Amino acid sequence: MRTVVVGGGIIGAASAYALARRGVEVVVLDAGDAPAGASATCDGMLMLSNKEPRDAAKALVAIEEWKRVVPALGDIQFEPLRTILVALDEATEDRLTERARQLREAGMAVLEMNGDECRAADPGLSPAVRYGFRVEDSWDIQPIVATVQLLRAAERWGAQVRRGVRVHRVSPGVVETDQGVVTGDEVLVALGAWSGELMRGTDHVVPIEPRRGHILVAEKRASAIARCGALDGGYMTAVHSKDPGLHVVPNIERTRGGTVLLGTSRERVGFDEVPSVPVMRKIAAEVTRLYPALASCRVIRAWVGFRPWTPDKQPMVGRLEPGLAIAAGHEGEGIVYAPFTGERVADLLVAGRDGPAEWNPLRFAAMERSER
Amino acid sequence: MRTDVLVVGAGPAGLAATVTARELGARVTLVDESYRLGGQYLRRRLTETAPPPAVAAVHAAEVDLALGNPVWHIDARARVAMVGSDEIQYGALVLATGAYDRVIPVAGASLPGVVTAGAAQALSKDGVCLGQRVLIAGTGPFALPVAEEIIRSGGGVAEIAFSHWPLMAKAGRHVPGVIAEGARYAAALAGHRVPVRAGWTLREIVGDESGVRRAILASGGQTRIVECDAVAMGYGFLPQLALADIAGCEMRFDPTHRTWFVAVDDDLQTSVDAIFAAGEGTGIGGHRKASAEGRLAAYGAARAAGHAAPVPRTVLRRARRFQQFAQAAAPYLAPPADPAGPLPGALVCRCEQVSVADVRAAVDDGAATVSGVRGRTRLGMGPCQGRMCSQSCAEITARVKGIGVAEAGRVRARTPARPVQLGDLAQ
Repeated sequence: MRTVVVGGGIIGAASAYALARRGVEVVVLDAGDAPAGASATCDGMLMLSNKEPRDAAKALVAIEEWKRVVPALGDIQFEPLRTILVALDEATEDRLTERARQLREAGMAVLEMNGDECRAADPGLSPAVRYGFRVEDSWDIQPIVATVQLLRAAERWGAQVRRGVRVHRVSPGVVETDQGVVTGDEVLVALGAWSGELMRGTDHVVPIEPRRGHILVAEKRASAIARCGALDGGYMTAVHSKDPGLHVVPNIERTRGGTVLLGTSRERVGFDEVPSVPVMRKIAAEVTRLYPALASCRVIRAWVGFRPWTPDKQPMVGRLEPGLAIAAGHEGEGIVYAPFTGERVADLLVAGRDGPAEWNPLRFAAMERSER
Repeated sequence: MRTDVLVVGAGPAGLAATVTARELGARVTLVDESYRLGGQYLRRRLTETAPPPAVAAVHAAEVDLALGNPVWHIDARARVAMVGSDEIQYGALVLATGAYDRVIPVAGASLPGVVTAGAAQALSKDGVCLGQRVLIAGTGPFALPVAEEIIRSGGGVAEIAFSHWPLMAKAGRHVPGVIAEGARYAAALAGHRVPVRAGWTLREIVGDESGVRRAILASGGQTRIVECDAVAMGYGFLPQLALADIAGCEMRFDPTHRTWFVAVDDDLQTSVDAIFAAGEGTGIGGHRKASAEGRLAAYGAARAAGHAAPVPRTVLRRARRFQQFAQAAAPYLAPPADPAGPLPGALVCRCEQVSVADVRAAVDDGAATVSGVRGRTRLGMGPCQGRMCSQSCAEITARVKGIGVAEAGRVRARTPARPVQLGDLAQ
């Protein structure tokens, strides 16, 4: 069997690797000469504390899938993540306490801390932090290196990676590119935030849109202040908001190199690649609210990226029709679910086994029909 | 804060633009990241207190100065420049951000005692004695004032090693001042018995934690050792393009310099409305071209800000003449092509410790552009934002792939152009 994977981001790469390992002849088509979409612009956190209880079981398996592939990937900076999910007000504390209970029930190793315990773990945290928790077995990777290494691992299993190929149209078993037609038994669309654009004009309902995020990079000195890193408990509300306007929730993540990544912003403004100073200002204000001493640290770089957003925040993974499948729309969860998604794609295309029902890609078409 | 004409950079181009725009009746604000006006070219020695005439002219003009803080962002749509926590609203903008030393990957370049030619000049002016046997390696006539400054600071020069002779006399034939300046330096160095050789390019610097011991120069297949205690390296200059990038200005590729400059029209207007560029950013040509362009750009900027005046023929002619000189001089300023290539262990990106071999491996892995290499190696992701390494990376990528340097592309600088404190940003 031969599968053409459209898109060499982390989902395409992980799918190619899983398929190639199961003996499928794989061709990956990528427009650039390196990862360039969300896989190249995100922070690479394999975090558990921010998961919805309904996704907890999947997320735990996703971490196990990562541990299985890591030995094949060389040094992708796979390291424990100590980020604390924190609350600065009573309402958030109540929500987080409840969330901690639910995640523990779902089988996660939850470590709860009062404000002082949070500051004992990470002295840079604001005196206003009153509660926090983290989940053991959370990890951090370098997402660009991981994507490149997954592709390389796929190549070792015989996959072919073609770079500089732009895909114009897909249909069952057929991919039309700027360099001619590529055919296979199956076509897998893994174009992240660009998947919706590619599928427009076809019969399929693929409501994937870009949800823009900013990341600011603070100089290495910042890692002496943010020793664990923290994410504001307001995160869940922002992720699940239907409002296309701007949501900023502070997230502080150390990198192995010593620089510190500062986020997060979410807004649906199309593919606007120019970083917005008002958004950068808001992130800076929110981040220094969590770690006041960061105010004296300098931002050395900033960029934007595009999360593949879907209306119900679940990805689309499965068959659209015979010969045409999709794996996209993970919003901010593409990195953590990459090997898991790859395995589900391989289950489907090789063994005919369906993945999680809530990931069924036909659900939006069904919804549209019932609305009519 | 509001101003008619905002000038970024207080070197020769920016100073001339400031004074001229003020003369045309515009309200002018001059911003520079240094507290002292003059830029690198007019940098004063510690003992010199009197400002040079171009600086004195700005002090005498009624203009606003915003010094000691870099511009880190330009929002061209809103016509706003960000300086620290301040925002400056402008009617027109003149980018006079100058250039910086171009370096090539050389093994041992991170040893103590290895500096850029520009740093050697600045340190010497500040009274630092770099060494008694300093090797100056590079291209272009800038090595001459650097040597003079080192000697003046009490140091000595082991040798000036040019990759090729800077035969400026040929290019500067029709330009007043160039030949006289070159002759003056040549005479001064002859008086100090500084050996000058051409055809040799720096390949490796040998030393230890206490400093530099010797340098190895290459010429074709030959190598030669120079005993020295410090190295000043300057293979020409690269324009400072970060703000022009952020403002969205189009760039042009210069095949002689094998690098990119801001694209401008005859009035020095960039592709972006109300943004002008003057000096090294439009093409390497030295202080005379810079101040001539600064004057010309001021007319365009003043006009865009509502202070129109006809451009005097002399202003236009002077700018054209020095632009032509810059073109004629380009082959003598450009860095060596070096078909042999640098040693595999030499660092290309010092911030992220990426070597020549790492870049080659990334290209072998499928990278065909600077951003492709960047994604695989973290090259250019450190505090300097790729200013020191992007050019070398483009050259290595092009050489390995057998493509032109232009095809290897460039990474557009992103905001912030210079590091900005989170506390300033948060306001």
